Amino acid sequence: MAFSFAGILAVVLEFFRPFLWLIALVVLVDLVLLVLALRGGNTAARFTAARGPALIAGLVVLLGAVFVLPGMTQAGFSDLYGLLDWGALLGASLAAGVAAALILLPPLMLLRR
Amino acid sequence: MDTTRFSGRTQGGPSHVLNRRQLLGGIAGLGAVAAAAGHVRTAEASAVRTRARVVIVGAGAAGIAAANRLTRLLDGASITLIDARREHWYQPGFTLVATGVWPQHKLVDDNARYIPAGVNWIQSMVAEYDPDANRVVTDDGQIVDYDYLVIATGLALDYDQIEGMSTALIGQHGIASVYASPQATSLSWQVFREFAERGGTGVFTRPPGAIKCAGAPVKTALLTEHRLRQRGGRDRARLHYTIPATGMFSQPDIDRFLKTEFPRRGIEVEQHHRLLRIDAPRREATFATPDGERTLAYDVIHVVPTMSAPASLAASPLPWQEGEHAIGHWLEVDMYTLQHRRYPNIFGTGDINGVPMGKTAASVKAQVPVAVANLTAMIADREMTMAYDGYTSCPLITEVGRAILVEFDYEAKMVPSFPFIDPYTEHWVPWVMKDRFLQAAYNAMLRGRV
Ligand SMILES: Cc1cc2nc3c(=O)[nH]c(=O)nc-3n(C[C@H](O)[C@H](O)[C@H](O)COP(=O)(O)OP(=O)(O)OC[C@H]3O[C@@H](n4cnc5c(N)ncnc54)[C@H](O)[C@@H]3O)c2cc1C
Repeated sequence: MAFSFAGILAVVLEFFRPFLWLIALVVLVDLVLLVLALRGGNTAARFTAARGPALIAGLVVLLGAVFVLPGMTQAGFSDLYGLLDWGALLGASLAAGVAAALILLPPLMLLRR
Repeated sequence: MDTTRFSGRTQGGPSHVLNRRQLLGGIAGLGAVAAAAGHVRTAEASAVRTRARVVIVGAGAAGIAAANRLTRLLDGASITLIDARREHWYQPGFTLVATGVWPQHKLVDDNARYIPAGVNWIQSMVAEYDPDANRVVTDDGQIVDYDYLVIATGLALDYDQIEGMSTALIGQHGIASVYASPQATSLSWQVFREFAERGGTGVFTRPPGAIKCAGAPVKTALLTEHRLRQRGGRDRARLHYTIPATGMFSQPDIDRFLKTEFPRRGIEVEQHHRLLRIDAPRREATFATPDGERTLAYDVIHVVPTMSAPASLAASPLPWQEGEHAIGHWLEVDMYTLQHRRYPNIFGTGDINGVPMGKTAASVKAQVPVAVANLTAMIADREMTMAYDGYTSCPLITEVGRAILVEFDYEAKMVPSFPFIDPYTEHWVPWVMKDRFLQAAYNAMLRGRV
């Protein structure tokens, strides 16, 4: 049986619906900070300076997520089995790490002059 | 298929590892969400212009999903939804609350959040169906005429068929039942939690006939066994799982798996046991067996009642008149088109349907688009082209933290939504889906989006 891409998006929307306001707020604040950083000039230098710390923070979040995510679902590492589970854990952790790095990038750019 | 394809992962349980089938693998982040979306057919054609009066009885999973889809598919129709219940119960979460995984508040939502604008919601119950006159009568005396009727009343829980049992007893005298209501699931967890610490004799019942989410009694038994291991009561506990005949699950591969898994985990399967009576103060349950009545003393009993059509529908001309579906007074619909076999302007969707398979929310997700598309085709004077294939699904939770994603159709053929999720192996990913994503998929279904 087929399933639609629009259907998947609808599920994702329902999943995030309770904290859509929070996501919107974070994105908005980040955008404002990004605009401020870009308008402050020296964009390339700011980006280069912020990139390292953002990546490190992302890496920390990624590693933290690997250890924390199973517990957050009341499961343990012994419940993970095979490529599917470990791949999912790594994928979700990677997503969390990338999200953290992206969120931190604008404020870090603003801080680095 | 032989049972050894199943993974028998045994941390904490009696050791015996069956052969594992290597999974195919894949990334599951989006996949889990996508699988949660499940088997979806969004065959939305452009809206049909009509002045038809469509009445939907029941504002549960199927009724609300149908209302949302019909609102988009019919332009100018008068759509009326009849149901007195304002709360929306997320029933697939009942098992999670009854086993201490979720808090009760996650189960209760508000129907008004999902009913589309423009739909007339009559907050009463249908007391009488008059399909020859194309009308229904509500319990407060309103007569509602229709051109087309969608029946989505769900089913009735026949606790009164068990002598000595009533829902008021849930939470007392060691009586639990995950089916009755959100509050009953919380009370059931109180009973199971105490049992998990103390141990004793636990009896888990399964009634004869069609029931909604036939996996729920199984999951409740397996999760309680896991809770016993987690909380220290396992060595002092004896567990019985009673079934009315010899089958534990309608899908044969899963049936074989469970017949291995239950004994492996020390749960005694009692075949040919039908619960007749409960003596609550004495904590005794009496069963009909081929050798006569058998009484089991228990510390905890999980009561699953027989299920049937709600009384007003059962008393109407609409149920099956003969055959296996006549016993529960289930709605007489064609198993593929979901159209009533004698009253063509009536369609059925959800638990009420007298079809061989499909009393799950997952089936609702597959049935509603079919019923709605065929009804729309009929209104537009077109040929009905959509067919329900019996799709049903059950994330079979075997322990807190792992589950098997079982999806199958009328032929009992496994039809996994995603080939990389092996329907024969316990995994964390299906557990995460059940715990985190399926409610989102359910809500998207209510809105008619999946
Ligand atoms: C313990 C438990 C665990 C479950 N687990 C799962 C699972 O893991 N996966 C899964 O897919 N499914 C699961 N289900 C099954 C799923 O919840 C049901 O199959 C689904 O809710 C059926 O939808 P429905 O609309 O047919 O019935 P319901 O959602 O029950 O709604 C029926 C509605 O009809 C109304 N009604 C009844 N009679 C009348 C009348 N005379 N007039 C007007 N309105 C009326 C009722 O008030 C109710 O609001 C589970 C169910 C339970 C109880």
